[in-house]
Amino acid sequence: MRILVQFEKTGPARYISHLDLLRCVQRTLKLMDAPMAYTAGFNPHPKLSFAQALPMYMESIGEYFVLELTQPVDFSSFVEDFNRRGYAGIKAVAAREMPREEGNPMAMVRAARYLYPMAGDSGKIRQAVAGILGEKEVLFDKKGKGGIRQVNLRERIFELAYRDGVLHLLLGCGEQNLVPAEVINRLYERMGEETRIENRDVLRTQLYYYDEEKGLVPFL
Amino acid sequence: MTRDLSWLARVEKPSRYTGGELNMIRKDPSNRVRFALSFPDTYEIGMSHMGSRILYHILNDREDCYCERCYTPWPDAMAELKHAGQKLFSLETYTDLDQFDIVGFSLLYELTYSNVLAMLKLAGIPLCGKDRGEDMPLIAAGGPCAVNPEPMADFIDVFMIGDGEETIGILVDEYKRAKAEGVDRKELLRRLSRLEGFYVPSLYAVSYLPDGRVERVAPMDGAPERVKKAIVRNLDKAPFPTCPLVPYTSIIHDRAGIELFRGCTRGCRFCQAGYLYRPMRLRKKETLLEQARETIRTTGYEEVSLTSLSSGDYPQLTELIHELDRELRPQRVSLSLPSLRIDSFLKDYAEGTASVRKSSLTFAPEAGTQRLRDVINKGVDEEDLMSSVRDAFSEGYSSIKLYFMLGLPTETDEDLLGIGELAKKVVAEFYRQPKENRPKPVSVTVSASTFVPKPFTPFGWAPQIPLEEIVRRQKLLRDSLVGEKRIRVQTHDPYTSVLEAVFSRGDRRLGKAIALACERGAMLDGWREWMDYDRWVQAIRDAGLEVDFYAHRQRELAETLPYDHIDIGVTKGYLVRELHRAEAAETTPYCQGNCQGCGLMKECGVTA
Repeated sequence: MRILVQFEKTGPARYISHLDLLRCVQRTLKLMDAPMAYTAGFNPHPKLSFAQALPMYMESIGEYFVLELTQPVDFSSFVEDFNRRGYAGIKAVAAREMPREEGNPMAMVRAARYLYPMAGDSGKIRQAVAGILGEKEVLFDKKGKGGIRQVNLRERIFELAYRDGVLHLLLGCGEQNLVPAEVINRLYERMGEETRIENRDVLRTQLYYYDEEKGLVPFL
Repeated sequence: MTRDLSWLARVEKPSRYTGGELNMIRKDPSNRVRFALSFPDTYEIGMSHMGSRILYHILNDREDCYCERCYTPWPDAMAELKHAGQKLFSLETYTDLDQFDIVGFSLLYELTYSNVLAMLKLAGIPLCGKDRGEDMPLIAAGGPCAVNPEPMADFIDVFMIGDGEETIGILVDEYKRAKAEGVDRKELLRRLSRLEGFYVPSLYAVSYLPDGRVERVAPMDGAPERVKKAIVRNLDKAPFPTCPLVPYTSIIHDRAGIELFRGCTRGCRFCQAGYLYRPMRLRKKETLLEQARETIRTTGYEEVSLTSLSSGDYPQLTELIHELDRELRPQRVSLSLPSLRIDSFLKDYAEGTASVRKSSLTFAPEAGTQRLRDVINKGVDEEDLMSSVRDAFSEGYSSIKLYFMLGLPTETDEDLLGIGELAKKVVAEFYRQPKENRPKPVSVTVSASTFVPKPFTPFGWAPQIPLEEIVRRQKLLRDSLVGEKRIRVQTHDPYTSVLEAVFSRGDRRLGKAIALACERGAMLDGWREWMDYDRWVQAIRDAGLEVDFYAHRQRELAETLPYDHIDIGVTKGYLVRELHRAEAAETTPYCQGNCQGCGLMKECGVTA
């Protein structure tokens, strides 16, 4: 049985690397005595993979891993056990079965949702948001082999809205990536503000895959 | 406590400073004795220290105490703390260090002394004991370096000598009692000074001879003439943390450590640990199995490490390994044995086990010729090494590390060249193996550290060879192996070794030099990128002292040593006897069942 687990990486855990996160999750699974399936070979390791690495020091409540098990488990007690035995800041949110046919989440991620509490004049912010959404072309710097070039990443902004002091962003993630700080700093630029932020100031809340019929669908 | 930690994003390895690790103890600090267990080195090193783990859990097992942790921040974080106007804080509750009742430092290595001062400074705590008021924490220190407490005497209120399992609790008890009775710091220290294992340096007056040697150390105010080290008599029943902290990020020893026994009875004459931790005290096999089982259950660790000074000397090692293997293998937990002697190769114990890890192998012949190995009482010969190496190669190992010491008393160039010869013989042994045993080319690493004479060893009177001589001998060793493609030579930084020699046998006057060096920015001296030898030499000189006097001087047997008032149980008479045997290149047998009368016969059970 293969299960998909949504988890959060917050508090002290925001400061650990992807590699450390992998080790902490692995230890937690071991502590809760999860019936993990292992790879064959000289150096067996659990069949465990993560959907998408977070930008450095960003907090998230919508991360995912998939885990192969040798026997079925009850999802709610799995989540409960994980949180009882595990590390502060690495908490399971929910779990569901994800059969192999559904694919590999790592390759499936298309978009991510972010929240950013944005201070400032709400009228001006709304105006900047509308400005970006109204453009056909929004150019971003892309580092490539031939140095920095400008590319249009407007199509990677799926949703951009400002409600109750919070900016909601749904942006391309995975192969067609757009990091939230770039978009937010563009807004500040349009507003004529000096403020510039880093990705770590933004909260990631969910990851999405693409479905022919339903469009962007959250993993859980 | 809330604290602005936004600077964490700007420093290297921020999880050094967040706390919140697995198994971290959370308590309400109010109405409890607040103890800051402080480790004067980085998080990765401090978190790997077994002694600190033991104390953390002993203190936190008490209802009336909350023990938190603190490590030396890396300079990037020091700068951020200063910039943010914050003080050094504990990882459990983010409380400023100066708010604690007791701050206890572990002194494991002489070159961490500057970190103790750097941490006090970051906490806004006055460095010298005499400048600290009643509102400041009591500053305590323990660990192996505390057996010569003198260089740190100005900064530490009370030293704990010997095993800490029992004394740490007594310290808290006495602190509480003094608080309840409303007595002052001075009276608390006076009370502590009368208890076994506690040394209060301010209650001893040191006088010096005109040539700078110690004349006399005079106790005051009823403090004892000699301070006896504390000994945990029943190690098997001693508390051991089976629910240790497990960090987020990887540390130096990232595994479940189980302590087989304490002490070592081999009597290698250069080894301070071999004398300090006497008598040898074992844990029962059943106790160890239970501790390993429980630790794996609470940590999720993938590896259990059996630690001691010489694991091959554990009487039931084979049975223990086999029983552990049986239990751990199904749980995919592996086993490692870091401290095996040359004459006790793993194969003898671990045959038929699968979980014992095969990493690279390290052997420690320590010296290049049999004569010198006899002088230091290493008790192994070339054939022991060759047969171990042969076994290792036939088991499929191809990478061997050999530990040596350079500059041992009586060492000649012939002894040094013997190191190279030995390494070449190891390579030759590899090529004598059938071809199917040689899947990879052989690699032999010769690691030569520089001998640092230590207090309470037979070589405690010996001079360290001068700096230029260290450099010359390192070069001689390297040159003797030029062109040997399969042999790599590693040597230690000679400046570091000289400073170690200064402080290991130093006296109280060095406190001034330490304070001066720290004022001028000394810290993290154990880290090559931060150590500045010239700054230290200047500070020592400015304190009116000389490096040569401490590091490179032959002491007389009759002179009063700065640490003669500390009693580790092993008598001076025994050490002198051992020194004379060393001079005659005579070995002393393994003392189990063959008592040599070191002074701990009663504690050992040889005499009642």
